[in-house]
Amino acid sequence: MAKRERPERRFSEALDRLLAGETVTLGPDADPELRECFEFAREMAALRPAPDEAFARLLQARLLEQLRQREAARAARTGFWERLRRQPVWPAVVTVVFVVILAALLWRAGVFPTQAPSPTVTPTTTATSSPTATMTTTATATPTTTATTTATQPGGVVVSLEAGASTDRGTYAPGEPVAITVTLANTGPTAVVLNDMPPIVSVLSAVTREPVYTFAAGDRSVTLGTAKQVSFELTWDQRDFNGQPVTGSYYIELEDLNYGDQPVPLPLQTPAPFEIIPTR
Amino acid sequence: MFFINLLLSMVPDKVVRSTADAFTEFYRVYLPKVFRYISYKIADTHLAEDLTSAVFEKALTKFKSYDENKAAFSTWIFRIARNTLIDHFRVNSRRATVTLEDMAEDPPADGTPEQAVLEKETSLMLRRCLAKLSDREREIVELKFGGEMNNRQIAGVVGLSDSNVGVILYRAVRKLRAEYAGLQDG
Repeated sequence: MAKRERPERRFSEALDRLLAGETVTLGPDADPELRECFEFAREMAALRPAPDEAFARLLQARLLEQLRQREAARAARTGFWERLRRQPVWPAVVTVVFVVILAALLWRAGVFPTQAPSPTVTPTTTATSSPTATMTTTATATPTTTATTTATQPGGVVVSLEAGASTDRGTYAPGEPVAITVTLANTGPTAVVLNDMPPIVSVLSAVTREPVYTFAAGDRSVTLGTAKQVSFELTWDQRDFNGQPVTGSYYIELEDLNYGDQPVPLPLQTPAPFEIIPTR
Repeated sequence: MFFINLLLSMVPDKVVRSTADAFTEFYRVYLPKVFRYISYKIADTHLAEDLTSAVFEKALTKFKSYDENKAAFSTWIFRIARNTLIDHFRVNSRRATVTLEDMAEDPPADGTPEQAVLEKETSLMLRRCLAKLSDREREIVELKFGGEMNNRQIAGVVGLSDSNVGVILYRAVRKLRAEYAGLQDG
């Protein structure tokens, strides 16, 4: 006797095919309830709203224009020397020429003893720093983690932020409030104005790597001078998006900041971990 | 020098073209799905369009940094959509009072005015039935019918096994059908 297929699985498979645009009919062996459910699902699928064509066209045009402007701005910021620097062969050529010129200048200035001229010169400057991002992480004994992100914004403004997140403890009993501290430090050369503070903060499950709860961005503006930092305190009540209490292992992530219409990522190299241990 | 400049100037155009092509294809596939998913939660069509725009603008800013090793495209875009909705509901929690009648605004209306009225009525009844499901059941129904995601993709968003998603989906549609029949009889 053939093994009977579970109705849930058969329903899902038929529904996926229906939603993909196939004409689907259940065979005569289908359970009557499954058949009725599927016909109801067919009716639901037919009633789904579709985006207005004019809206879809306008939005697409707007997004592609934004993309074009973004890429054009990036290309404009990338000058000839920068593009040259990105060519795989040219950095080596430029470095060698630079070293030779430097050595010649030093030799002419009499830095090297004439009776024993040095055969080699150690290049100390190679001009290979990345213009887009550098990242360092410091891990500490407390569940704190930080990372620095540097981004060049339109107009040549360099935004360099060190983001950190920590919880007041590493483990919690169910129901205990989780105090989260988010710190942003300006490590760049100029003051920056950060809007929509505090930033969007997510609590993610260490198992699924999906967010279980997300704090919305705030509406404050903060001016951060160089070498200054600001901290925000958030309290999580251990409830997920649906208001249900949860337990398990979690970590903190910060969403990108919008700075002058450009995203500035706030990576946490080792996101602050913590656990909610269920009581027995 | 002129030759080098000429060669280098070609690089950004190529990048723009390929990114634009990729984004256009991404948009074509996901716009209807994201809009439907948001429409299940937001009754007002214009607001649903605004939020859909916000989702794709966020996706655009992160498009080049999308890492396929971290999440599938569908999981990635629906995570952005969920977060956008969460933000919206947080900010507007004090004034987010949409009546069920408002919610039945937009069934597809290709036929006669009578058909449109009937579809609107049916859509309203369906939304009433949806409101009676649990949050998890409703989320799965919305991701299935709105996002057109398979059970494995839904599992990636809601944090369940795909077989669990299948069971909850079937149970939810059975409940909806029973509720709907009750409303029709009543």
